[in-house]
Amino acid sequence: MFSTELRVALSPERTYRKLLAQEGHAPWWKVSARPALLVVIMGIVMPMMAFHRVTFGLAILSAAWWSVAVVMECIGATCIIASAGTRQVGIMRALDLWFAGYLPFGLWLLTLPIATMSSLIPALDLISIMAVVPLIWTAFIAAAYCRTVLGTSRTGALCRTGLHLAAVVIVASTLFVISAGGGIAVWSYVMRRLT
Amino acid sequence: MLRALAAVLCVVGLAVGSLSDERPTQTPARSGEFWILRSDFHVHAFPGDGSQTPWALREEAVRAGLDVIAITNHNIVATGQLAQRIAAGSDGPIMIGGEEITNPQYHLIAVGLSHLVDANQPAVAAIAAIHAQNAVAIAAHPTPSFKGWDDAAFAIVDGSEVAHPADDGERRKFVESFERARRLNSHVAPIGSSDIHVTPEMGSCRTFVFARERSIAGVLDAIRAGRTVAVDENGTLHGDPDLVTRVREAAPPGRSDQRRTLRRLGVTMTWLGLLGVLLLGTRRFP
Repeated sequence: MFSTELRVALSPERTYRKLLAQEGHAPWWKVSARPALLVVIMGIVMPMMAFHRVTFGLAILSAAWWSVAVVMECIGATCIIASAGTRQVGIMRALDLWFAGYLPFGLWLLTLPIATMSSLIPALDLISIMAVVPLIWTAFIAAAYCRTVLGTSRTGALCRTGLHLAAVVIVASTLFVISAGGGIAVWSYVMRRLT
Repeated sequence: MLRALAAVLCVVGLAVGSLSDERPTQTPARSGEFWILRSDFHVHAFPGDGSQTPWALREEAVRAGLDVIAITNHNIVATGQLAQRIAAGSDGPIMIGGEEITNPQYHLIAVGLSHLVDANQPAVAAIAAIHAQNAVAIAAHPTPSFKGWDDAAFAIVDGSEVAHPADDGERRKFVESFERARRLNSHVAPIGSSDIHVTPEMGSCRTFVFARERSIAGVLDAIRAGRTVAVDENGTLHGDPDLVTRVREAAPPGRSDQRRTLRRLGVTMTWLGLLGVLLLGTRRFP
């Protein structure tokens, strides 16, 4: 009944061990299914948030632009996978298993159209606060992934997980700060909201 | 089986959403020698600090019953320029390139801009730089916490956002700032804008522009002359009594949402289908 992704999210280390023991080959179309689903989710969620409607056209347009985020995550994951000489599987299979841990971010994206309906908290503030949950949840999954799939030590797993977490936060924050008018503008905005 | 059902529900939801999509063809109302153009001069787009591309925003402007939108990303002018190029020479809403000049002391909307205006300068200097490009300067959500809005800046600004999504307390401050600007310069245009990044709805607050012609130049001229009326989320109109009366008489149509039930059904079906696909995953656990 439970999907692979749900099992990975709830019990990452045990599930990754079982997956390593059971599955073998990962063709490209199978590997691309999970990142593609993430792209579809973003394509649908964005117009839902902004326009309270979804159409094929809006979803396709939005997915095309926001697929950049998934491509960046692919690059980051490949760097982490390539850095581990002890990994138990090939790079494509490792990438497939990495994206099996996307459920927390997928659920976060899906909650955004509902959460941003509230007019009490500004949407961008709410989105940023809510992002803490998938960030922490995914860090646990990534640590389990490194230990089992990449075969790293506990310290190696912690380092890679920390680096991935830092990269996600830094890239997202940098893009946000640049697009919001620079560091001083963001700082003044935060101070105004606090006071 | 369940996974396939969830995927089908998602696709059907998208189809229902597409069917409910209406694109009303509304001609702007006329009042004497003027067109009453429904406008939103504070819209953020992607790439940048908005969530939607200029193409999607233009489509949404049609649904929102807007004739003019200005793309004003924080300290970025390129996205607005792109939007202006997309809309140039084609039917549909006018898109004007701009920038939200973002300084800790003030936020300033520039509409009709061709080059970036440096944010690291006092408001008065930034307004002068905007005017040097034949663009118009609008005080963005001006509240007393923005110390850059002194009398000198209010005296030369072309418009002030008197209607902007806010609570009652903030709304009062916008009105006070507008009245202060009007005392210093009787031509200051009342402006209503949504300031959409991700939310709220585009055109939730809007400006009725009394333009002699339906063009960027016509819109900018009307703002410079103060020929606008702003409307806030509660439907309160702000502006010269004569123009407010003309808006009431012309009753320009607002957002068209006649297929609301179908639209909501599409969103709900798509969301539930997507949740199903997400939880059931791309493949079963072996």
